[in-house]
Amino acid sequence: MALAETISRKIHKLGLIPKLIKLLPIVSLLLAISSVSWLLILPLEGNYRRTYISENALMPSQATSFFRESEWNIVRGYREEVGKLEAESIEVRNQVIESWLHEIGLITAYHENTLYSIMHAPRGDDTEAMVLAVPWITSDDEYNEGAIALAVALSRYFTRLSIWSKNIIVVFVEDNKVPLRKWVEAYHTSLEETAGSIEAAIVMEYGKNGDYFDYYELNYEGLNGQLPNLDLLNTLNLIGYHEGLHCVIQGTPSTELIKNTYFTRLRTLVRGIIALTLTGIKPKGQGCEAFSGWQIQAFTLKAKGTTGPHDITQFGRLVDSTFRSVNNLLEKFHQSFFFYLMLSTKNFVSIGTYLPSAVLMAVSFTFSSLGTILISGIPLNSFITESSKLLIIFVSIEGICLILALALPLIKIDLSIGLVVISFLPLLLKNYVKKLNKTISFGLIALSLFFISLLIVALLIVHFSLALLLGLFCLPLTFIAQPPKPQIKTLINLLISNPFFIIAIFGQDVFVGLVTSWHDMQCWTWFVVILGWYSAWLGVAIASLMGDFTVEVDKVKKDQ
Amino acid sequence: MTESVGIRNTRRWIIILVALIVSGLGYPLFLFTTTVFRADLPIEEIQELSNSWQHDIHFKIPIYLEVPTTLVDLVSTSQESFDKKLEQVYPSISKFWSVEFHTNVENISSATDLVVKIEQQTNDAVTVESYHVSPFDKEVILYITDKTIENRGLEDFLVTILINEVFREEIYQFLSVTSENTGEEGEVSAIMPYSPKFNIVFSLFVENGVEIDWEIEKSLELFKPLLSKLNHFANFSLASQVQYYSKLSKDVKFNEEEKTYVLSQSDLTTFINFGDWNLFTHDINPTINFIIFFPASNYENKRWTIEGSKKNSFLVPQWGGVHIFNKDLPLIDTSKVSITENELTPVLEIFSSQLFQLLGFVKSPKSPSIRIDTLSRVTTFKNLKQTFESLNSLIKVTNSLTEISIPNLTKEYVIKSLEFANETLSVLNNNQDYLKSVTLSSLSLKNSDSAFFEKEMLQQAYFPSEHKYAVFLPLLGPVGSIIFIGVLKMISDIKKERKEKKEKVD
Amino acid sequence: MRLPISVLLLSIWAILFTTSYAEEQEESKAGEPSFISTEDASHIISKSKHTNNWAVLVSTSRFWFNYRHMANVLSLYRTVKRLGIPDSQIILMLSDDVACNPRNAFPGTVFNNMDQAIDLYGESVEVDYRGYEVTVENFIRLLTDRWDPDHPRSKRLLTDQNSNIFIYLTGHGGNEFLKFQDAEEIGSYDIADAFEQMYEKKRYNEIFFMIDTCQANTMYERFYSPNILAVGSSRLDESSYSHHSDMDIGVAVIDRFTYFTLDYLEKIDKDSQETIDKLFDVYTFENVHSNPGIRTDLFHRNVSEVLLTDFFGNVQNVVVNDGDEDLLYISNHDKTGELLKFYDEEPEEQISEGIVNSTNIKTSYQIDFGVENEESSDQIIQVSPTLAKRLGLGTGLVVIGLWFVST
Repeated sequence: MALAETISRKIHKLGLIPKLIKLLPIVSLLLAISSVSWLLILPLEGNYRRTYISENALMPSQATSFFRESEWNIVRGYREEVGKLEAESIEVRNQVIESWLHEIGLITAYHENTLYSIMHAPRGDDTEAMVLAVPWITSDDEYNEGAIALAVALSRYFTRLSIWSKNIIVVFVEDNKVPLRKWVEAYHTSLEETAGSIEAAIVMEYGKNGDYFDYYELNYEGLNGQLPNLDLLNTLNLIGYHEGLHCVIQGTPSTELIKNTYFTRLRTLVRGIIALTLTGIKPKGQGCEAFSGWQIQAFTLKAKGTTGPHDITQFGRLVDSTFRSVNNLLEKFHQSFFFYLMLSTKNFVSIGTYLPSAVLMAVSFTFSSLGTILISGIPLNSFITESSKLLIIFVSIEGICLILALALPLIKIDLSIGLVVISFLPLLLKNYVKKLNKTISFGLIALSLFFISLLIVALLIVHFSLALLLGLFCLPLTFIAQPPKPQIKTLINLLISNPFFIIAIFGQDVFVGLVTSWHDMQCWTWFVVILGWYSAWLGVAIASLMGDFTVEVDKVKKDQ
Repeated sequence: MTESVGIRNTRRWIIILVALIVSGLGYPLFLFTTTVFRADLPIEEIQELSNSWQHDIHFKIPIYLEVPTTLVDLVSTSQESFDKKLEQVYPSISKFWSVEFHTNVENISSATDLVVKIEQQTNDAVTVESYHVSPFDKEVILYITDKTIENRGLEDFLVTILINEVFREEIYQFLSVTSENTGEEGEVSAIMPYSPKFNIVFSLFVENGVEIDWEIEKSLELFKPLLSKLNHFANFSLASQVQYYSKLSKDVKFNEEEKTYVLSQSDLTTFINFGDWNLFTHDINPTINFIIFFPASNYENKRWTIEGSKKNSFLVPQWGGVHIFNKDLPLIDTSKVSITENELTPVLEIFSSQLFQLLGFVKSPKSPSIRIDTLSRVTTFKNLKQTFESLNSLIKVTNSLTEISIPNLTKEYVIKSLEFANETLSVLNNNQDYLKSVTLSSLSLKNSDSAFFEKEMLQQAYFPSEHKYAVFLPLLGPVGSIIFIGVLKMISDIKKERKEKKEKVD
Repeated sequence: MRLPISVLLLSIWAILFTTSYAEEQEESKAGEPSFISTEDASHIISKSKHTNNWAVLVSTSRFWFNYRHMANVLSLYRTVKRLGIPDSQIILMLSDDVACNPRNAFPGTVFNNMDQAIDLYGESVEVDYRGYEVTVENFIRLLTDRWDPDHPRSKRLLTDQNSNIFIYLTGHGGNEFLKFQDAEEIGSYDIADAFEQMYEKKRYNEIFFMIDTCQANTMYERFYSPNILAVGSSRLDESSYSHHSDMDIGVAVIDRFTYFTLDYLEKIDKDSQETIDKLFDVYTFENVHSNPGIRTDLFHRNVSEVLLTDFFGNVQNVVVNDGDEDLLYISNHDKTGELLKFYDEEPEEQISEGIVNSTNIKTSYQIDFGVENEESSDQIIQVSPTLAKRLGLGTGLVVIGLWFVST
């Protein structure tokens, strides 16, 4: 008691509180900077961890895969036949593949144009399944000849093993984004031919690389910030390591296959954050994200290069061995991390390590919000009396945003630049509308900033990447109110934090993807953008352009 | 902060009441939920009886003397002489084991009681005393000369024959049972552990697959009278089986000179092929196995012999006996072979002898009737000894393992066991009824085992004390500490008040 | 009943046995010759007093990836069986059925070596406790033999003071505990107390306790009963490692400690004269990759004098002697050579066994023999004479009744 009393007296005596209040904008900025710095130090030695297998049951690379040279001719044969189908329609292709699968002795079924086969594990309990999905077109718009042939050859090979405790489903899908997502959804809702809960899924891409490939690329980002259990990725990587294969994640160039420096790690980290945010939004899907939301651990494998030294059966062995490991599981994946950021295929940081970054960002916005109110010099009581008005305004803004959120996907406006302009239109009314009073002006900005802070906190665990990027993009908004700026600066700040402006920078495709993402992929980023980001932006914009900001600096000083 | 006296008192009452309720309800509840049930065993009674029974037990084997009329006082003089000699030679045995001489009366038969006949040799040519123990009943005949009587050597002769011959083995057995360091010499006992029920299984193990017919059913009829004599000792169930393709686990050496297969001593130690032979093992009562092994070489007219055995047989201690059967006549492997009753009888003779060894019969005298009596006496003694060992073990275990539960049934078994032990003693001491005493003592033993092996008596230590306290800690911690501090505060308040009062008064 | 043909021979039986007093004395001194199989004199072997061998083999962990624990225990099962311990004296507790696991590439088999030379599940394997029957409670009950009266004999450890018991445990352990079934655990104290109860009730002559788990040596620290020899695979805070994986089955197939134990035991025969310290010599850090422990302070013999077959086999001390003659003849004849009639004495009085008034005790019923190829089964003493008389009387009455009806 006494200590607290002394301290509080001391604080009062030194006038620390007003000083601190004055410093709040700087503190807020510092916090934002430290948030980014936090990310920058993660790739430093000692801050990240090496990957390891947590689940004892997986036992990767402990079993010999027999998908070897003897199967190569079979793959080749199928590939030649698949090559002939390139010009055919999807129906014809499916018919041919289906006849092969029937020859092997598998059950097949359709969902729209998606063909899939089920191999019921002869000695299993028929309650769990693993999925191998192959799109006809790769994410690089190549005819997925190798992977289709490989999938059929693997199906044939799988039926000849007697080790399966889980069923195996092989899916042949037109495209690995929307059609695959529709199939996954249908599997869990309407399909008649099913094979139990899907534990893991592999999407396979092997274009016209021929018999050989150089290395493989791994994609693992899911929708809405979801990631596959780290054990699955580690299993694959360990298997790849034992096969002598190089793995690449986050678009690492082929020249840096074995490079592992601070910069490569940082690049992987940053690209990972951006990729996770854009998953489900980008026009081309990776495939693995189609399985998000159903507790399915999934990744996409892509063969890269054509020169070798690795042959196509080795690519098949990656799938075979991974399936064998998953097959060993007795429970769902649960031992390892679901939230992590990869720094390389062998290094990662887990949620506990990277989370402070987003927390700092959220605190930064809270301080900004607080600073706006305290520096305004308006007595706190008046904020309280004006609170209902403030809320009405904010709810109206949310209402407008909600209408936009629902309407935009329907009306399909083609250009987000147009939206940038349109988003500024309400502000033109300022000359015709009564100016907002001072309390409301400051209050609205503070509320909007606080709203962003809340949004970051709400998102930081489930979708860290989105939360962090949102914070970064909204950062200019914190510069607007304190201290009052010339209008041009305000406008610039508003422009560079405008969601549509930023989406426009990413490109037209991203905008279309974002708008349709909920309908197509059940990705809720669009709602976060329009209901969270845009509404807060609108709040700040309205207040800053139509509000009254004559801060009585002297009054503040006198109070001291 | 002031508080009216009324409120203060109410507050104190509440504290006291809560503390009382919590401790009054909580403590019994804690005890009820955590303590294991432990019935009170009659420890003192067990200890008392286990200390005293060796002094209370008295074997007084009645011996009926059939003497010429001239030697009527032999009964009393012999008794004196016998007691003296026994005391002298085997002082430890004489405390509880002795004989009691009686004059033979009309209704005593040597079939049921031990009768000693003394026959005076009239033939002068015979100068040396001799004796004969009938193998068919309990009759001992002493052939004496005139000289024997003259030197008052008759008592000596009688006592010597009894102690050194008739009861020699019995005395040795008692000596070994009573000595503390039994079995420490390393000699393995062949005797089956006592059980009130035994299975006897006769197995014919045929090395090859040629069918064999054996007249075991007829032959077993011979066995039944023997077993019926033992029926007070234990119950026996008989069974027989034939098994083909019963290979040995390793090859037997062929002796070229003698043209026989010879099983050496070391071969015998692993002769029984436990892995492949289907032996009778699934009954809860112990099984005595008698195996006739029929080698395939019988068809080649080559014999199997066991080194050192005239009867081609050996005994497996505490397990059974084995005989290698050699067919005398050359066999043709196409025709059905049969082992006749006549061929089986000598084999069953061997098995009878082995059965006696397995059950712990003394080696002499020959008469089964006398040996059965000896077995009954020794078994009674052993059973009682084992009963008290079991009961003492039970006490020791329950005392050292404080977490083990002692169900009421255990107590009941203990009481029953003690009752049977007492009954054994009384039947023995009052009636010298050895048949009944062996049955009673076996019941005493059985009940003492049941007490020890009672299913509910299971230590639950894998639910350790830590768990027990851990479960109650959430309750004990917050609730207990608040009440405890409250009570402490109240006490200090009261003290303070008193002090103030005192000061005021002062 | 007809007398055997060799009546001539048997007639000797009828001759009275009249031997002179002096001769008899002479013979008794010499005693009867008894040839108990003696060990090779060159070996300094301390003789074990046991007459029977038992083995308790327990794997405690479930799941496919613990395949090696099942392989460990089945390997030892095969070994002790090969060395002569009968199935009826082996208690096998197998916590999971990896042989029939769908993940097993070779259904119905268990291998302990990547050469897949020996299918441990191939020959007749008698599992006494399987799957969820392998619990701490059942293990303790097994050791202390506290069961329902109708618990099958094959699932009980019916040992006595003449029994040598080999106890082998494998699974996942920790400091002074061993996990059972991924659900419960047994502590070092629990086993120690169970052993003490066995000792008190004379349920063993000697125990050889072997445990292959992580921190295995902590499991025998608490033992305090005599005549127990204990070995463990690893000390406190040490893991126990697997030896190798079978790439076809896709799992580790055996643990190092057990591997080297078996590797050594493979070399010995049923009647081997190897001593147990030779086995201990293979327990080196180089082999096992952890520090195996050996505890001998409770054991009263010197390990260099203890035969391996005292625990890993069933070498029986056989007695070759010719015993008594003519017991059957005597039992069937009287002094005069007359064939006696079968008689059965009626017990004077029925004695009630045990506690009659208690309903908790189930009467154990005599089960009829069910031996394969059984030719004859006869229970002569089972039917009480009174009952037999009553039955006889009843049958007689029925026959008379029928006779009356028919005429």
